[in-house]
Parts: sequence; C-alpha cells; structure tokens
Amino acid sequence: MIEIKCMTEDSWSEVARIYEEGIATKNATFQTEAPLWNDWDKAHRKDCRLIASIDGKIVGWAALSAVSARPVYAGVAEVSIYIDQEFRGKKIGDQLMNILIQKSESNGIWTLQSGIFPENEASIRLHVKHGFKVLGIKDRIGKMDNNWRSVALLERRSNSIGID
Amino acid sequence: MLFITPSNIHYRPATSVDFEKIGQLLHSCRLPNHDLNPQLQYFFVAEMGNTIIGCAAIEVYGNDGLFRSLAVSDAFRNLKVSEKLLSHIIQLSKEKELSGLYLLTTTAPEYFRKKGWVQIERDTAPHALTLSTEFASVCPASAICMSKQV
Repeated sequence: MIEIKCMTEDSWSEVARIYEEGIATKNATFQTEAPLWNDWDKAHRKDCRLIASIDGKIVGWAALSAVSARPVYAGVAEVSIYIDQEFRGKKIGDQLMNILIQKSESNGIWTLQSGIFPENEASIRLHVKHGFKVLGIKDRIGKMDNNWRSVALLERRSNSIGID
Repeated sequence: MLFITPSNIHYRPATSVDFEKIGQLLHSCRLPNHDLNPQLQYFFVAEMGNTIIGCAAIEVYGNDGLFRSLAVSDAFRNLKVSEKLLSHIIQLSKEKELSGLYLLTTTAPEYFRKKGWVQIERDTAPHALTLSTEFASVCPASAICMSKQV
C-alpha cells in the first residue's frame, strides 16, 4: 500500500537516491547531482515536502520551492516530483501530486508551476491530468551534454485560493 | 518563449537525424518504433522550436502507400497537429503519384472514418503492403485496416 508522509531529514539519503536516478535519465532536470541536504533544505518550502512509501520503502517524493522572494509572488511555487524507476506506472505520482496540490492550497499557494523537458511525456501527462496547462516551450534554453534542450512550462492556477 | 499556438508549430519532412526523437515520441504514444528506417519511411514532423511534438509517415509499396506512425505529444492536443500532418502526407502521396493509402489502427478508426477513410478487410490490402513489417508482425491481428484514395 502506498503511504504519503511528510519528508524529514531522515529520508534524505533515499530522496537523494531517487533524485540521482531522475538525473541519470537526462529527462528530468539540468542538475547533474543531488545537492546536500542543507542546500536542498534552504531552497525548498518547508510546508510542502512529501515522500511516498510502499511497505516502508521510499519510492517517490515531491516538494515545492518559492519562485521569488517578492511578496506579491508569495503564493507561487515550483513543483519537483520524482518517482523511483522501479515503481513507475503504479500511480505513485498521481497520489503524490494529489496531496501536494492539497497541501499547497492549504498553505495559501495559488499558482503551481513546473518546467519539464518536452521529451518527458510521462511527467507532462501527470501534470496535465492534475489540472496543469502547458503555456509554451522555452526553446533551447539550456545545454546538457553539448545538446541544447528545451523546457515546456506548465502552470496550475488554484480555483480555491487567491480568488478574492 | 514559444507559446502554444498553431502559428508556432512548423511542419517539415524529417531527416535521418530526427529518427531518434521520432522513436521516443512513438514509444511514449505506445506506437511501434522498432522498425524505423530512414530508407523505408517518409516522415513528416511537427515542431515547436527544436521539439518534435508530432509525426506521421508513409512507406511506399509500388503505387500504394502505408500510412503509419501518426503521433502527437499529449501536451499539444487540440491544435490540429494531426490534421496538418495527415494533409502533408496526402500531399506527399499525390507528389509520389500513389493511388491508394492504407493504414492499420487499434485506437482511432472513428477519427479516420470522419476523414474519409473506409474500413476494408486486411486481406484485401495490396499484397506488397501486407508483407510490410507493420502488417506482418508489428500491428496486432485485431487492428482495423482502412483505405483512402489519394
């Protein structure tokens, strides 16, 4: 059974392992290695960090980072979501995304955004299923292994937060 | 930033350099990609910037063509990409003076019916075409065969 819990420092080695797996696919991020816990901790919101586990084994994680320090953008956050390669196709992403969205809204976030390599069809599909819209493509925005890569920008505007 | 609008989508014949990306797209759309060969298929691709978001191909067998590998990335639905690809393929078929186009589909017979394709028995397709990899081994026996005059 899949269980979604809050991430703590104890889970970092497993979270980093899954992160590194994602990096190795070359379809998840421009990052080339998982950061140290302290650096990751500083860069991510503390109120929306989740892990998914099956029988106690961590098989996925999701977290949010602020996109700007400006108060006007306080309710805008960037999604990270990673699933253990061996546990793909088991709806773990679905469950993580569900809870992540719930948590983001209960913490006053009105816009979630995500930058995804267009080749990462599974991730785009997951986001679209959960109400994200594809806004466009940042064409050849960064270089990876000597190839220019594009990034699709996706956004989900909450219908319950920031509607006053 | 290229916004998701039809005017930002460009259509062109594929080159052999595109085949790796085409293979990935077909894989993610759960379509056969093991028998791709630049010598055998004429592919058209739909592109935003350097991202291939859709593709379609014909394989030529004498005067007939096998239409295959019509795929559009999930994020780019409702932009009439498949219609555009299909019309490019039909135009190419005219240039190659083909008389008939044939396809196999497991998922989209209704779509093609609306576009003027007619369901036929698989055995009535031209012999050379039935020997193609797609007919002979890649597409399941349950796939529906359809045809259209060029």
